[in-house]
Formats: sequence, C-alpha cells, structure tokens
Amino acid sequence: MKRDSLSRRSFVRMAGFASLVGQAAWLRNAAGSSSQAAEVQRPKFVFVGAARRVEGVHVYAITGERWRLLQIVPSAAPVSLAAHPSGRTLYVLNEVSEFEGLPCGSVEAYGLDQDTGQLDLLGRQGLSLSATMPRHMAIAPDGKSLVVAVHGGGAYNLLAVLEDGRLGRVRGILKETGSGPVAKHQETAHPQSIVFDSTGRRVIAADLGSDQMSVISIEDGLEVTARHAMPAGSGPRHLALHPDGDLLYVANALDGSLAGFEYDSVTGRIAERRLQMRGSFGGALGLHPTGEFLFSAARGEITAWRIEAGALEQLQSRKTGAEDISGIIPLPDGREILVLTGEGVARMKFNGVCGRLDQPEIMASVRGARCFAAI
Amino acid sequence: MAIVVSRQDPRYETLNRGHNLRWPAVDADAVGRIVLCESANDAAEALQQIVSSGMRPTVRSGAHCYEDFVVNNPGGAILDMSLLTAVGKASQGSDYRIESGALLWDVYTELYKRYGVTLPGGSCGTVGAGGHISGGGYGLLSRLHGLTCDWLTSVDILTVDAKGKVIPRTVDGQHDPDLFRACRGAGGGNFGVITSYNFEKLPPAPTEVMQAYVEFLWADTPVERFVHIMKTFGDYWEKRGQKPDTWGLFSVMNLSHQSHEGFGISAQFCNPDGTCRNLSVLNEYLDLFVPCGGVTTQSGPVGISSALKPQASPHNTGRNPAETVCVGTHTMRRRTWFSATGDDAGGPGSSHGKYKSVYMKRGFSEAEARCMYKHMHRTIPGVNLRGSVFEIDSYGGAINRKEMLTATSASQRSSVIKMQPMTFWSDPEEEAPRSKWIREFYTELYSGPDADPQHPGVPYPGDKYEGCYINYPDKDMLAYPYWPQLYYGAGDLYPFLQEVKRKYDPNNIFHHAMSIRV
Repeated sequence: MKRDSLSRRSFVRMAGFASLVGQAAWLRNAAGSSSQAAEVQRPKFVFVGAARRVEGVHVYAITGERWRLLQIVPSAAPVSLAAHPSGRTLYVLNEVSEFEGLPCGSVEAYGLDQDTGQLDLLGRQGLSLSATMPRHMAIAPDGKSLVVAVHGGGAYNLLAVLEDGRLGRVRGILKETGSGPVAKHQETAHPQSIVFDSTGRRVIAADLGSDQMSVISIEDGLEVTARHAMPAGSGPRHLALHPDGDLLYVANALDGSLAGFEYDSVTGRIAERRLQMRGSFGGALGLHPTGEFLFSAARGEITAWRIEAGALEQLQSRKTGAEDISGIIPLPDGREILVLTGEGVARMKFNGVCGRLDQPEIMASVRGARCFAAI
Repeated sequence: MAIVVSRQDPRYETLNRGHNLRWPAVDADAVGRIVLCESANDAAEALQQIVSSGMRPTVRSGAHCYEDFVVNNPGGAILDMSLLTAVGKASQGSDYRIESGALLWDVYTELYKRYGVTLPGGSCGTVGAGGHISGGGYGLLSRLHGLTCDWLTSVDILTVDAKGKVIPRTVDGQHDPDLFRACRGAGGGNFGVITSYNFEKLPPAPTEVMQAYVEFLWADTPVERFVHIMKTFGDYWEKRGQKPDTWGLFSVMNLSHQSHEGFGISAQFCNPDGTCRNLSVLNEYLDLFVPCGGVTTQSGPVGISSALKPQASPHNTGRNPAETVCVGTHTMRRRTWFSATGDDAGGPGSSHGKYKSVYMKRGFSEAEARCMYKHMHRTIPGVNLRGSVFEIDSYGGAINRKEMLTATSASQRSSVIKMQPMTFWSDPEEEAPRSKWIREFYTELYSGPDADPQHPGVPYPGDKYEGCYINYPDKDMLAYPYWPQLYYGAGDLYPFLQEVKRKYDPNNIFHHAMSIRV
C-alpha cells in the first residue's frame, strides 16, 4: 500500500468535492466491465450544492477536460441532490429547520434542460412536521417516489413524484426513536442516508443516532420490514450497495469502522456480516461501476479497496489535502472518481489494473460545498 | 383495551375531525386511525404501540383545538382521551382528580354536586379538560379564583424516553417539577399524554350570580360614541377592575360585525363570598354605559361565545328559572350559579372558524377603537361577514398574582383584558375572504401608535400588550420568527420550556405546527 499526499495549497487550487447522491444513476448506467465502461457517455453537467459563501446550486458544464460555471441557483442549505431517472428533473434537499414558518425541512424540484444544463424551479415542498434538518434523499428507480432521511426530526418521509417532475405532498412518514452511548451525537434517532435496493420497492437506511440499519418498504407508505442492530456507538452514516445488489457496505462515522454485509434483496434482509474493518473509514463511500472496487473516505484521505468475494483488500490511500470529504462518485467509465469536500469538486484518476489513484485535480472551486450530482 | 377506529370504520368520518370543520384541510392530512382509550393503562399501551410502529401520535380530549394540531397527522394516530371522564376523589382525604377526557360541564357538575367546589374554567362546556388546563384555561370565575392551572397539585402524564419507551409519571412540585410547571400553561401536544389532573383543593362554587346584558345598536353608535364605549370598557378593567371587590365581576364585550344589528356587553357577578347580597359593584359597572346609549336587557347573550351559539344548551340542569329583577335602572337576571353556568355550556356548533387572541395590559386607545370601528364596518363584495366577532373579556384580578409566574407556564400575569377575534362560516368558499378580513384587521390594529415599532402587526409583549394565548392558537403568527415570544413572553419561559422538551421528549414525538421547538 502506498500513501501519497498533496499540500493543502495545491489541493485548494485544484480540487473540489462531491457527495454520494447521484451515484445510483451512475451505477445503473455503468457497464459491466472496464472495457465496456470506456464507451459509457461522460457526464455533461455537474451540480454542486453549497451552504456557505454563495449558497445555492452551482451548475457546471463539462466539455472535454474543461468545467465551466453556467449558473448559480439560490437554494437554502442544499444538503443532498438527486437526479430523476429521466434526467429532466433535479431535486435539492434543503437542510433547514423551518419552511413557511412550520418546523420542517423542504425539497425543491428543478426542471433541467438537458441541452443547456439550465435549472428552473418547479416548486418547493415542505416535509412532515418535525422533519427538520433533513440529511439525505434518494429517488426510486421508477422515478415515482422520493425518500428522505431526516436527521433533525429522526424520521423518514416518502413523497410522490408527479408526472411533470414536481413533488406531491408527503404521503408516508416513519417516526424513529432510539439512542446510543455517544451522548453528543446519539441522544436520539438521526437517520443519515438511504439507498434503494435492487427491487426498487425498498430502501436500506442508516441511523447514526440509534446504531441501527433498517429496511423500509415504500409500497404502502413507509413500513419497516427489517432491522439490523449495529455495534453500540458505531454511528452508521454512509451506505453503498453493490451493483449486483447483494453486498452492502456501511461506513460508521462515530467509531470509524467500515462494515460489509450480505443483503438478500428477495427477502429484504440484511444478513451475515462479511467484514468489519476498524480504522478511519467512516466517511463517504463510492462503488466502482464494475463492482470490483470500493472507495472510502475519512480524515482527508481516499482509500481504494478491491472487492474479493465480498471481502475487501486495501489497495491505496491518498490524502486529498482537505479534511472534510463528504462524497465520492466514481464516473461510469471507471477511470475517474469525483470527490467532494467543503472546497468543491476534485477529480482523481483511477487505474483499475493496478488499483492506483492519482493526485486530485480541482475541477470546481465551491466553498461550503455539501452535495453533488452529475448528469 | 383501547378501541381502534380505522379508515374503514363507519365512525372514522366523524372521529377524524374536531369541532372546527376546517380541519383536516385536505384528505392527505387525515390520520390513519383514531385510538379511543378507556383508561390510563389503555393510553400507555396504545401510545407504546403507536411509537414503536413509527407512527406519530396526536392527542385530544374535547376536540376543540382551533388549529389543525391534532387532526393534521398524515397516516398517524389520534390518541383520543374522551372516554377518560372520571371526576372526583378516590377517598375523603385524597385530591380531586379530573381525567383529561372529562368535558368542562361534566367537571363542573360533578365537583358541584359532590363537593360544592368548582374549577375556574371556561364557559364552553364541551371543551375537554386535557387541553384546557394544560394551556392555562380561564373562565368567568378566573378573576376571582385565577387560572385552572394555578390550582393544580400534580399531573399524571405519559412521556416517551430516548429509546422510545413510554414512561408513566406523576409530576408535582417535588417530582419532575420542571415538567410539572410546563404542564401548567404551556399548552397541549408538547411533552406527553396527560391522563389526569389532581388538585389538593379547589375554590367553593358561588351560591348565585347576577347576569346582565347591555345592548348597543350600530345604528345608534357613530364612531365617536363607539370610541367612548371602548375607552369606558377598557378604562374600567385597567383601573377599577383590579380592585379586589370587583374580582367577582366578569364581563365580555361581544363586538360583532355591523352585519349584525348591534353588539353588547355581558356581565356575570357575585361578591367574593359567592353571594349577590351587595350589587353595588355591578351597578356601578352598568351605570358607566348608560351615557353611551347602552340598554340593559334580559335577553342578550351572557357567557363567553354565547353570541356564536344559536343552538340551545345540550345540558339540562333541571334548574329553577331565572328571576328577572330591576336594580336601580338596570334589568338583570338572578340565577343560581349552577344553572347560569349550564346555560352557557353549549358547544361552538359545527362550523368552520378562524381565531386570534390578544392580551392587553391597558384599556383601549382612541386609535384602536377607531380601527375596530372601521373594520367592523368593512364590507367585502360577495361575502357576508355575519358571524365575525371580537370577544373582549375582562381579565386580571386573581389571575395576576405574580407568584404564579414562576410556578406555572402561563406568562401573561399583567393583563386586564383578553380579546379573541373570531369569524365563522359554513361554506368553504368563504375561508379565504374571511381569513383575509380578520388577518388584515388584526395586522392594522397592532400596527398603530400603540404597537411596538420593532414588532408591527402583532401584540408583542411590552407596556401595552402581553402577547397571545396558546389555547387560542393562530398559525398566522408563524409568519413572525418571534412567535414563541408572543405566546410565552420574551423572558426565560420559552428557553425553560425548550429544556423541558429536550429532557422529556427527546425524540419530539409530540409535535404540531406551534409546539415547543428545540
């Protein structure tokens, strides 16, 4: 294993950041092998949500190696982005505690011009009462539903996606309880992230506050169909589901561990734990489109892992120069990953043969970046 | 065993609504089920099941919430306490116990017939004890005996801990005293499910009361006279009305829109000893309105909200009829206190309503009176504003005992008038114009020279006003980031309630649009 580092100055000059959101669309589009992946269409637009400096969604057009800022759409505390499978709508989750005077967060729907990258607000929908400071959302593969994990209110919300891309009212609420031994972060339930399983009818959800994973059906509102207790004080934060749908990776933010489980998509059960890696791996996760590699992040470092029969072989860790990595998106050609930090979006080239990550290059400088998506 | 009423149950369409038919505003807001509890154990088990299944509980007793705090609970569960109706003492030496589902009229009946005591609560008899007392309920005897929550000794309440486990508690001055204080005036739906209230002692019920009604016709009331009436009314309660010999006098001005023929002032009086042997205070008060063109009649409304209750009282008290008497120049009715209270105990009717509230520390200014006159004479094409009224209550007296500021969570202890602007309709099409009318009226009234220039449009607590009443919630106030200060004052009370909320409801299980926020 080889570790490379990059000075903060050079990183800031070059790099930016990404979020896990948007990964599902990439994975669906990704080819099954490296050779096929090279033919996959490259993204045309990158959207970066920032909560500081210029608060809003920063839209970049990608032409070859060049990223060009097209537009900054004002938006309140964007924390999670999700593209509709049609590519015609972008959803922005607002990490706010109040919407129109009510105690709840909100989600914005933007019409997306697929030729120009232009975003136009279609509407803003409030979440359920007490669903404050939402953290993450995912859109169903059929494009008809949106599920939100709510950190502040300890809940999940299910919203209908209307034909024109706008969002309907909340049509399912799951109110969680629970706590953990880390008083500062686990005084109550804090759902963090969700990922749809391969059926598209369930989400797998991570709750940092209660050290709990849940499988939740969306077929008739939100209904818990399975629970899985994580080690006390672990704080499950990030999820990645293997393209085959049968391996689930969980990054635990509080104890820094990385866990892997078998997931039975037929029964919707989180089954046997396949691995538990202790260390500093509790940050964002990203799965290579081939399913052969996993990328994890923590403490300013990206680690590449080779997936071998569900187990992980650590290949390389590379410092990025920034501490707050909040997202990783492997691009569909399998040769690059995008990394999101509080400074913006960086690109790192990846050699799948030797498992080596190159130094990060800053593609978009966006101070206060929190989330990321690409189409 | 609790009774579960699901959407398929024929009772659902009735029980998923409260008295205010505005709510739920849309079907998507409606609850998934109503759970009717018959005991405190039922409530604990039902609450545990609701929380464990990830549903949101909202709680109700009398179903009188003005806003949608209970019935706007998409797919959730209403924990209905209306079958917990016991009132009384377990033994001779024990506390009076009132279960949270008991209706006020039944509370008054039981306490009066069994013990000769009463609770100084509201005059609308179908209001439930659960929300009324927890919000600091008041009524015609409150100037004499204080708020209902002032008399509380302990509260039985179910809370939910961080792990989601239901915890039954009895809270009082020694056990969870912070939660006990929060249950004394902060309002329902905040901390848990109250199953019963306990009182070591309660005030004696008056023997008799005198009732009077002074009527004014709009046609005989030009704006100058109207200003005089308002200032006369306000000045009395600001000054004379704070003297203890007047505390048995409670008066309500029913200021109706000019689409009604007139407006009036009701008064109910007894001496502090609960008799009507000396009527000088009442006569003195009624005399004030003779120069204003006021005529005492025996037919007008008397109690709070009576103007809005065309239907007969649902309660038959089997009482003796009123005795009409003339004292000086005034016509009034002598009643037993019990029969008088029963007559005013009807519900608000099956209508849609919008409500606001104001606490006033001083009487009316000319600017306020002129503003009220203007809006009470406003017309909106195509909209009949009949059924729009400001009920203006006398206040203060025993309510304003300052020691209750820290003992309870009812922060308004300096007011002399409490006002409730209301408008009612039955055609849903009228909601928008009527809501607009009352909102514009209210905003202009509190944007005048008496208003706090830093907080225009609302009666922000200060020299003149003391905010709003949480049992008359008004979601329009959510437009102001300082809305909690309107309801809980600008001092330490709201931060205290936030601490209590964090401690006893860490998951924010109990919430609504205007619940305590953390």
